[in-house]
Amino acid sequence: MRYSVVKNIVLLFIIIVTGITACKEPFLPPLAKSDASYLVIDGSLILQTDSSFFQLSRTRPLGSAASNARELRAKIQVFNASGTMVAQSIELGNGRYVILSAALNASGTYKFKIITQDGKEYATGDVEPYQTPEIDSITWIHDSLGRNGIQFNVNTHDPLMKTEYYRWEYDETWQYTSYYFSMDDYDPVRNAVFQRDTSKYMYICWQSYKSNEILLGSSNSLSEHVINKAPIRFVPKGEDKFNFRYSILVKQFALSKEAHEYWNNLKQMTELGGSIFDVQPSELVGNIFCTTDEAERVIGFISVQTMAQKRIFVESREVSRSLFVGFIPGVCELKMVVHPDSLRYYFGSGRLIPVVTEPTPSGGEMYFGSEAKCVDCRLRGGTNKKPAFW
Amino acid sequence: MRLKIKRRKENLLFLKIQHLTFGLLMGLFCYAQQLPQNITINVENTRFVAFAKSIEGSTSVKFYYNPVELDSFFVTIAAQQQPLNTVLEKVFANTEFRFSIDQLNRVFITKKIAIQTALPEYITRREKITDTKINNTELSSLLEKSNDNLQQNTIITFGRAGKSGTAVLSGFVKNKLNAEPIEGATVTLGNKTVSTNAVGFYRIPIPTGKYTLEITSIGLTDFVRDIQLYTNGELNVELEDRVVILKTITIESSRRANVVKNLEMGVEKLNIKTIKQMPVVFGQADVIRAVMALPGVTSVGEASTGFNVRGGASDQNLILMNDATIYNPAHFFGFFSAFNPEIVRGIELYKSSIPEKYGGRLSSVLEVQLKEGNKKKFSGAGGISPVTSHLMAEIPIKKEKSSLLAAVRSTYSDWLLNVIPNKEFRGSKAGFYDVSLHYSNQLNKKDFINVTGYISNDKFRLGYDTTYKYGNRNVNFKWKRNLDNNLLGVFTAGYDGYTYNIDSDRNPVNAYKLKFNIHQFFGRADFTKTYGSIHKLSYGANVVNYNLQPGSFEPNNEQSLVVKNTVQNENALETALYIGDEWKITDRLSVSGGLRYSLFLAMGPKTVMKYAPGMPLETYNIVDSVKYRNMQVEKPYHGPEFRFSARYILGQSLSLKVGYNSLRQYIHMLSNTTAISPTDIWKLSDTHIKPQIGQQVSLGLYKIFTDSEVEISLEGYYKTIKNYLDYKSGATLVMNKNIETDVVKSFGEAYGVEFLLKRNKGRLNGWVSYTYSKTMLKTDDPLAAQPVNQGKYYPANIDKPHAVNLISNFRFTHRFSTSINGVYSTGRPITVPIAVFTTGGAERVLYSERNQYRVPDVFRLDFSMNIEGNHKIKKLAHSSWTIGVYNITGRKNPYSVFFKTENGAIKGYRLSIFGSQIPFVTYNFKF
Repeated sequence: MRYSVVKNIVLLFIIIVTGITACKEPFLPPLAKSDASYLVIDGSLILQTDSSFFQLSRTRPLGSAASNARELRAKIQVFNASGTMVAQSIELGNGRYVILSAALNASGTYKFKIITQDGKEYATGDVEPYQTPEIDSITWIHDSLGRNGIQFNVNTHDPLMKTEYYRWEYDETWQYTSYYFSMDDYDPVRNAVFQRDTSKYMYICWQSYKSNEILLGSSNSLSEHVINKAPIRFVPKGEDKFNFRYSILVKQFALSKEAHEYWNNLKQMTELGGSIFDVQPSELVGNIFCTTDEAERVIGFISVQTMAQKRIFVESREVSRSLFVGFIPGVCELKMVVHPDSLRYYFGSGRLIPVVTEPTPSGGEMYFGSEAKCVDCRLRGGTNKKPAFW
Repeated sequence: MRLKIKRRKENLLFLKIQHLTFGLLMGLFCYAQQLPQNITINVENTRFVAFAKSIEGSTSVKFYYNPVELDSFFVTIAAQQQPLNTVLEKVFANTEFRFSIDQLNRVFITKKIAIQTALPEYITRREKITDTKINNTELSSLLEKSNDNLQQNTIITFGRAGKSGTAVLSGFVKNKLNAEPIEGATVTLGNKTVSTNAVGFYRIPIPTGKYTLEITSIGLTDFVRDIQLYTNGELNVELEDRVVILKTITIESSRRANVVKNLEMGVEKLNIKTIKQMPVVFGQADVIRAVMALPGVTSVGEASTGFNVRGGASDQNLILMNDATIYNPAHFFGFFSAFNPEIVRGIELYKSSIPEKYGGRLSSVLEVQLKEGNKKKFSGAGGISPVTSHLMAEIPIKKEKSSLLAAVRSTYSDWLLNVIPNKEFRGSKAGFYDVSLHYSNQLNKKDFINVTGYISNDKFRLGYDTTYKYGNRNVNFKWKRNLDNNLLGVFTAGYDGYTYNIDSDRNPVNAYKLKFNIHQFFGRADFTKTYGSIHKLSYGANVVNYNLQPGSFEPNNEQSLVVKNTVQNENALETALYIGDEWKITDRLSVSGGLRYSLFLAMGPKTVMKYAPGMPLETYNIVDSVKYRNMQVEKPYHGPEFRFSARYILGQSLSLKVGYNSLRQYIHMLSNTTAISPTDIWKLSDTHIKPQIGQQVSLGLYKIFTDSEVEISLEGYYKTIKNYLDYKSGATLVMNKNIETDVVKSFGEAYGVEFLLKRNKGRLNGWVSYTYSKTMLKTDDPLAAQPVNQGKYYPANIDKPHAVNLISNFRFTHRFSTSINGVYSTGRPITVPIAVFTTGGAERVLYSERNQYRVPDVFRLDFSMNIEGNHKIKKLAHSSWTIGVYNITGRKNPYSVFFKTENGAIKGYRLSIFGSQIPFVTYNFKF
């Protein structure tokens, strides 16, 4: 009997090792019936910058599309400390508004007023402007210990000793290629393959991604107004962003303590979560209130600050080769089209796109082509127009 | 000299005769005269067996003998109408066999020494003119020496006949195995019943005369003896652990304390045996998890050791381990409780009638009682499981007088974290250990000393970044003294501490260390005095000096730019005086009333902010600050607390109890996470934070069936909590210098009904309970700028209306038993998203009002098997295996539901901590 127990233990050990895990699975609660349609204001007034964009929308039931909830025909007005209106929004459509803010500076407080098409008015109190310090540097490190990939960090300090809270946004762009470089094109009129115009090359593309997470930092517990290596972006291994060249643009905004609290609260409730000691969700209180109906909830925090930005590039030779992503062999085949009569069938229908033309030993020409996904880099989401900063 | 079983029932009788210590059967031998029984028999060279059978066949005589001894004994006799003893005298003439016959015509045949079946007329062996002292150990050793002495002990006589008046019988009741004093044993002499006190002492004044003495205690064999009392006597009794007889009719003393007879209500007691039978995840017996299986106790989730009693918050439980306050009863994220099961004797949870000697927490008192340590022989126990191991040793220092108990427990659970597929946990480490020491010494007949020490340490590191450490530190010294025969004084002094710190060193510039400490020094004097069996008076005083270091945030290395920042220390003194009485008015009606008066002084040095009067407590409303010097009283709070309960016996086995109590709490845990987290902070009441005040009324009906095998109880309660602390949206609790600006005062209301069906004995034992309970809160702060849910009542986080618990154990044999636990409860309330919106290019969620929805219901079934080695007494070590499966059905019970914005879209998730079957195995040994 003892023997069989021992055997069981060995077995149990194996089960324990493989079986233990806290598990997380998708879940949708019974949908709450809510006709809540509160105004959502997203945007901040960026001083000394040509345009500050605002998006006005409404909260909507879970599962309904964003396009249903855009707030149209509203007005955003900006007042200075003495109560004079200094700017008014221009509607761009789809709930987007712009305020031309190049002439506004950080010398005094601002107030905002929003008038919606249903006649309701919303307002902020005095919003103090912040002079955002310059970004000192953007650094990166290859983290091969835990998650394999590249971590980008931002460093800054405030010589004015004023800013303690920051929010960041980033914009990343990287270059990539298709599998084959198509140097030839097909002319259906002449049923002929000819050399591709350089402006129509589809081998090299650039793709961009804008941050949508809330990135915050603070120096309030430090003796100096310093932000050291605040994590901005982690690019894990397996994305082909470093095969050629990668660039990240970081935009920095100084925040007030209250604004930081608002963003942090929003982040806590909607991005973090899933650990054992989660913070309970709580109400979200911004700095905009409805003046016509005090009980109405409004979502948003308008802050006022200048913006600092910095861009860096990462060349492929700077990163570890282990981060490169190659093409999967066998997926993209180069097919040969020999008979000129077949050109229309393959190239004319788009089944294949010509890649290169080679002379045959008999003096004729043979055409090589491949499927569009192997030739046209734009199909993977990028553009073949080189960005201006590249 | 064990006689082979001839007839089952009688065999039992024989065994008892051998161990006359428990003279249950003495009554049978009270009369010396035997009935004449004439026999006619004629046999030649017949085996004795056949001879005995033929006599048994024709008369009512029964023979008791060892067949082996008489196997080769042949009888030749011819008798005509002769008395039995004459016949037997002839049969055994010139042999080594002796016989004796009792008045029931039972014949006992023994070798060499005859059994005396009757008492001599007068016993004087131990006679003394002065008070007499007898230990039953002496009695049994006498028994072992010679059967001739048997009769000396059947009636215990104190003094010489002739005197009359009042005499007092007193003594100590101890456990035979380890000489541990037994508290609360019921001692009945004649018509008087008392309980032993904390040092196992009892005292019964009674008119001189002959009585039956009966001493009973749960889980121990009964001691029943006839006593002839002429003078004061001292009788020290050792009781043995009850051997569980699987299939038997146990005759229970009707006087035994039980749920119907006890005055207290809402009290749950569990001994370690029951706790050890319950299957738990990772296989190690867990005290706190056993508590959670009791009616009226809930927890927010599976990985939490914070428990909630009758709708109270988890900081409203006073957890005492031999009087040491344990601030964090959890190890390893809450998967293990802080108590080494090997040193625990049992637990008592007071949910309703909280004794007046305790105070300072609103919901409950959980007493974890430790073993005293074996004073007779070196012994120990240990256990090994894939995750933890523990070892305990009991070392007698001076035999029968003093002993030391030492225990350690540790884990090697790093591998566990490394098998978790989630990458976030890579490189994580987690470990804990705890050490307990307990020294007890009986200095003399009056003085007893105990020293208890406890240290626990937890350390975990998530990823490569941040290290969390926390630990309890406790030490106390206790002196119990029998001041006079009716008055016991217990004097305790000690220190309790809790500390945590968080280290982060990933980024040298931001590297920090966050520290939090609670230090508490306490002293208490508790007296109990009994007046016969009518009154039991208790009174005393206690004092606690708190010193909290609510947070210091400092650089962790030289490059770090972190500025040292500390939240100012908090100091306070809490004192209380109490008095209470248990009064048996009639046999049916008993009442208990108590008053406790507590005084709390929040003291300097401290700087206290002043807020504009009538304005919300917000930092922008600070108008001034006041400095208090060291020891200067910043704010006093004081008030009475009442404890009352009454029991009325309605019928033979049915009683009704009512209770009322009020309590005050001056120290609060601040946490805005759902589960207890090791980094929750504690806060003392001060100028801005008022003490929490709780009141509870309860009513209960109790019934026992069939010799207290099955008990049923039904209890209802209603309670209110004043000044409960809830949090403003987005509150910051750690390192907050003005924490009063982030909390809101709430009012809480809880009510419920608890039903319990329990079977204590037999092959199948355990309980089923059903609890209906509600806990509602509302913001009750006129100055609150944003009352939670607009000031309406909302369900508390712990509100789980329906809860069913099943705890069962079935013993197949003495060596094999199985346990099944079942849990069902309503899911806890959560706040869910009701709408989405887009901001910063991503979808975000808007939450409903607080706690308006619930996670799905919780259901879990656990199973375990306990396999013990053989029960040979002379074995070096006894071992047992526990094998089981936690969460047999593999149901993914949601611990939490949360919503995340991922790649710009909202996704809802539910997290289950133990989302699959978790097998476990533990090896335990005892030596």
